[in-house]
Amino acid sequence: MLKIESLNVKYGDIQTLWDVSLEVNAGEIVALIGSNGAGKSTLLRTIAGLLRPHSGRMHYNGVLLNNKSPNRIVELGISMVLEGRRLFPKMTVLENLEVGAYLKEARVHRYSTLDWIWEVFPVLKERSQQIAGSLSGGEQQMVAIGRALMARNKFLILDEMSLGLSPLLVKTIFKIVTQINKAGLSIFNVEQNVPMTLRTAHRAYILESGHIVGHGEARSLLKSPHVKEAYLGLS
Amino acid sequence: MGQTLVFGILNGALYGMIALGIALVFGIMKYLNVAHGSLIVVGAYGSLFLFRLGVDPFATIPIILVALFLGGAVLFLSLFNRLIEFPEATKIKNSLLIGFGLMLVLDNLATFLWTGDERSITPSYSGITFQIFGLRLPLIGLSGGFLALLLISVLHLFLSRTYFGKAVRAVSQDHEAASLTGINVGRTFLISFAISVGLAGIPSVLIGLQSFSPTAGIQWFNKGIIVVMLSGIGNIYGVFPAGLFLGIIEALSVFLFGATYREVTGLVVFVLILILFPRGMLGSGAES
Repeated sequence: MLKIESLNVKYGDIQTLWDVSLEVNAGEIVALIGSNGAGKSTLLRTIAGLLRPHSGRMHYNGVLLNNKSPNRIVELGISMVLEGRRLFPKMTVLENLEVGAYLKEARVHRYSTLDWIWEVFPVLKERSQQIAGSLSGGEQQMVAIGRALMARNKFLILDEMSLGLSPLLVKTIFKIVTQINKAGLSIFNVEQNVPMTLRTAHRAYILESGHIVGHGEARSLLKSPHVKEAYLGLS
Repeated sequence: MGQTLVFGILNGALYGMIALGIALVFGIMKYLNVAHGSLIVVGAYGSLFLFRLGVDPFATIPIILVALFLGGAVLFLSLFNRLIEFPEATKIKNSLLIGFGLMLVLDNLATFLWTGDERSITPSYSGITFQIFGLRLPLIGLSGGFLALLLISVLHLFLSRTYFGKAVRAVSQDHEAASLTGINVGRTFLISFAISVGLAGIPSVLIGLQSFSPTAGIQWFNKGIIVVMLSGIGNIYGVFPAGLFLGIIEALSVFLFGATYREVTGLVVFVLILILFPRGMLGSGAES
């Protein structure tokens, strides 16, 4: 589905991604793990069209993504939940979700998508008329995921969704991600919460200082000495 | 006293309408369009031109509105489009520069085309007033107040009920997140800017019915920007009450100190309010 080949990205003169290649296939949950400043968000912003790559190629279902605008990339079928939720804080929960279904196809089916969102996040239905900025962190994260789902795309990218949430909520949210995956969406999950992420993903890549330094089955990575030492605090 | 309030409210409704266009652009894309007043004056000349051809001034409103909307789109694409990528502070500064330049061009163009004389649109009904409870209510002022209410209601419905209106609000709150829902941010900016300039069409005709000259634009812009600041930047729903407030304050000062001090009083109250409520009179100054 998503295929990235030798991607290089620079912020001005500073190169933040070096020769990054990775692939997400239909139906998979693929994780990207790495510490703060490894370049995870840079990679996602580049995929989303918010940053231009210096070189390399990104394809989605065979369509070249380089130099496409963010709204075009959503139209092509990729939805993204940005780090920090990035809701429209002065709009209601319902309005946030409605804006998520802005594109024509999604708008036509918005009511049936909404029913599904209410099913996945029952608490949001109760809060639908509340101003998004007044929700708790966990509820805001649910709105952010719900808003991305409203586009009815087949590919979902999640950036640091567990950040700032209580362990219990993290568990709930990861369970929901698995549920969304079972409903037919491919997921690219970018996280610092390594154990949780590796337990729910099929495959994973490790990004360090802008380089992909390893990849493989998520469960086997959990046991790799490097991951254990660098990300799980075990040795 | 009652009479003073009536004139204050009617004037304030006009200020509110002027400020609405400025607030819309500022709230959504952080552009300060200083030329907004000059665009209003150009619209007034357009209305005068049509009036002389025999069109009723109020019937010119839709025509001027559409003409300004299209003109706004052209101005955005030719002048303001390139600022989109800049950070907020740069956008404000650069749009100020472009706005001042545009204002000079428009004012001089108007002087060149129509001379510097003071003009006024004078339909046969311009002097009509109604008497209610001993108060004189000018027909044209009342129509202006009515149009102002209509405008704010339509704008409210547009922003809260239509999909495009919601997109506009989303873009104004977080344009990056908005682009990731599939909203074309550049196009939203273009249309919002054009709407803002188009909205100048109503005050255009109302000011045309009072009196105007090629350089009057900046004075109207000043009123508008004071109202925007009073209401709290980005607070579109506060603009209208803030306009009424300024209108009433000015009218009261005319009543108490004479017409000479009208502008001074308005500005003094403005400064006082900024000192006392630095985020604007009405709330957080962040609603949009």
